[in-house]
Amino acid sequence: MSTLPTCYKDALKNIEPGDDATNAKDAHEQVTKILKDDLWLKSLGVDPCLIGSYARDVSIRRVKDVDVFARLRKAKTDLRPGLVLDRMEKVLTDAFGEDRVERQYRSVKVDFPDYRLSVDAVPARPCGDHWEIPNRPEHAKRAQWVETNPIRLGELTTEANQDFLLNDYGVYVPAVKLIRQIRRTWVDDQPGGLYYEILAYWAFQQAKPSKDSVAEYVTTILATIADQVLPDAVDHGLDDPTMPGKKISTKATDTELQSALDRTREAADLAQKALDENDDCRAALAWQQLLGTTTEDEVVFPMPSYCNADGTRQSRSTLYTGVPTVSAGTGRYA
Amino acid sequence: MSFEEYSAALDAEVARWRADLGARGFSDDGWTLRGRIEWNAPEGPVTALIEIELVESFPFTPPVVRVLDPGADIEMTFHLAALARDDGQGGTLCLWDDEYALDIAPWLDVDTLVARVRQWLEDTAAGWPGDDTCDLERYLPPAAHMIRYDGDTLRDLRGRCVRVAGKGTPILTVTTEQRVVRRRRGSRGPYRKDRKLCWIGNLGEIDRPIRNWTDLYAVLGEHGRQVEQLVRAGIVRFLLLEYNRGGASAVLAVVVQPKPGTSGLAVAAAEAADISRTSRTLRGGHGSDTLADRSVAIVGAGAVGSYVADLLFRSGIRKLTLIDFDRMRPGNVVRHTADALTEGMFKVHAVRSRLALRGLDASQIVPIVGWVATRDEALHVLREHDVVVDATASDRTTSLLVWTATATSSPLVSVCLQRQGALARVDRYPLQADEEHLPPIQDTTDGPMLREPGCGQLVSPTPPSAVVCAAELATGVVLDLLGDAPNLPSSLINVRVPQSERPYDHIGLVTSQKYERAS
Repeated sequence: MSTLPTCYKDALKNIEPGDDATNAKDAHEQVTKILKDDLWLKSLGVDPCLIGSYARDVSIRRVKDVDVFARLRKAKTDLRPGLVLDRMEKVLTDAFGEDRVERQYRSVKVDFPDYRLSVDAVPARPCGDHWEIPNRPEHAKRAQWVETNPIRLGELTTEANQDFLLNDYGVYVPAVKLIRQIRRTWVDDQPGGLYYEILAYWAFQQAKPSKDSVAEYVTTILATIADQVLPDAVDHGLDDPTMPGKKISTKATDTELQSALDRTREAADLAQKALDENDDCRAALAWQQLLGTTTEDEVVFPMPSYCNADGTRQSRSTLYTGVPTVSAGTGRYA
Repeated sequence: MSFEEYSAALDAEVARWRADLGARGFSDDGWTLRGRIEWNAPEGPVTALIEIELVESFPFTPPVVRVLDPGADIEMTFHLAALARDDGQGGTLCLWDDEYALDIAPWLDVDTLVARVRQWLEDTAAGWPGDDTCDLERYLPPAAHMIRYDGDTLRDLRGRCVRVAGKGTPILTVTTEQRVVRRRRGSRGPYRKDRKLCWIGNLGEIDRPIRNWTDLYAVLGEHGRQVEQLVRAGIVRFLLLEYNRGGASAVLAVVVQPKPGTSGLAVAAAEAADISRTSRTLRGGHGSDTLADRSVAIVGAGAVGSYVADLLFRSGIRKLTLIDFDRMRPGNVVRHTADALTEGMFKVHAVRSRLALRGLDASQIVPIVGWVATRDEALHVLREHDVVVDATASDRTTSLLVWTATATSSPLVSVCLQRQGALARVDRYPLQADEEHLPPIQDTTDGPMLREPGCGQLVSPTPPSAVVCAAELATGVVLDLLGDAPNLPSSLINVRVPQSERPYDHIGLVTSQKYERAS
């Protein structure tokens, strides 16, 4: 078995958002301030907060978009989605300019070209314990309100990260990041990162793993996704852990879902092969293939320094067996 | 192999080492490894949970090992590194006191490492029987101070408060000046002179570390209450505490002061430094304590003479007479033991001031601005000293000293460098029966000599390292003569740069004895 813990540590560093995290924070704060300063939105009790993978700390390099959840705490049931989106588009355009603001069917997108990322501001109105956001189903003429609970997903992430530990530190979040990276490497655009995050969530809940290394966690979760959670989701839809009885929506077609299942099975087999490998260098090569490259074409999983790029071992004898490194012997003074 | 290749090979060994621990059931998140080991607690076998962290310096240093759960109710006492909590938990284990070369480092074998941790737990449970490690300062937070004290005076000051010099600086010196108890009118608190004093005490045998004021109060015994009152009154800030462990003795220096915003007292360990003569001469070499009453005169306090004086002084010679008429010039500094601050001083004064900075007794160093030019002067200097060193490289003076030494059977050591520092030579006089000196070395220097700008004096290109080499050789011969059974040959030549003629064509030591045998 080859778990290569230090390489996994570096791999996780390599997929961290890095500068994106600082930029995302700043972009989010700029948008939030504009929304909170508007009197009309203020009258609706606007209270923006961060949601999405970045907020849950499961985003990986690069962070291209940040979601701001513009909660309208005093919004009534007769508030039309279009009206709110119109107002948000206006105040954001006034602040950032036409070129950077784009109206979408459920949000207003603000570009931050210097940061190479965008902020999606999504209005939300209260609905019992949950929230509702605009959505326009196929064939519908106008946007409607649909139920969602992104904040609950953040809570579930925190809980899972407390439940699944490696040396007393949460392993759920790092594992989800690695699963998102594997998806990015092995699966086409759809289904997306959120879909695989939910798959990983259910895989953790079903397998309830307790392992001794990140490699073992990744292998177990990937196998559970490939063998149980994803086949079930392809057939019956993927349960939304934040709203019992509801399913996660995806833009993926049936063909794309089937293709994702095949590719995930391949990835899971490769992970198992890497884990079972006794030679560190051959294992590292397999882990490297599994985790691919970042969006900036940098290899995620580093090869150990004693291995060649092709997964062979460098032909060096061991350094400190039988060869004295202090020729003068013991009892020296300097 | 390149550095990268060396590093890669080392990385591979470290990875194998981690894997070995993994094979023994240790979990590894890339930062730390955690696993369980069985050990024999007093009540029977138990399992401890330990954490191993590989610091940057690994494998040249041992891994950091922590006990997360010993598996039995034991008190963590000694052999813990700093940062342990008050109960000793959370500290890193001191598993090896000695340093090891990488090729034989015991921690590289995981079985040995685990066995060592197991032994540590068992020793801890047993209270470290027979252990004489005196390292109480390790268990307290560090203070920024060094507290200097004279270990030879502590016994007489036990139970007393003494004044401290250097208050307000990080380097304090405990004096023998005791506090005078007096009442102060019209104002509260002690006089400024009687604040922040040092209390001297003896803790006797110590069987557990001191981690806080409560521990310290307990070991102070009958003095605890008094010391606490003195600290709270602002009279005492420092404690100098003698203690014993397993037959060894040591001194713990602590800084005690009220914790801001609480009623407690904070204790921190300062670095204790014994300034007694006993401590200062500890590293003088074998037999140094017998040399204090022997006397040596050094004629010529130039580069070689200055280093001979320095080495003899450090070796234990206290009665030194330095004779030279020259002053320190800026250009001398490169090869001389004195530094640029002494420029313009007579060389004998420059050397004396240099030696006085060592903190040893320099009161018997006699600087003489002058020269040895007459038979009477030579006779006087040879009769008044156990050994005379000729470090003049002056034909006239050397011949006078040798003539006089031979005529009076007085020990003389003549030292010089030849051939621009290629040869360092020492000749001892007078010769004993059947002894001969090595043959004279002919000067083969050609080409232009160096001249110092402005004064027109010729300057030898001999390098500073050659100076030190010659001084070391001469010091060895002087100490041999002062010993119980002198046996060094009459001539010693250290060949630093091989010469064209035998026997100086190899680097190394040529002696008159070897030369005679070879002849």
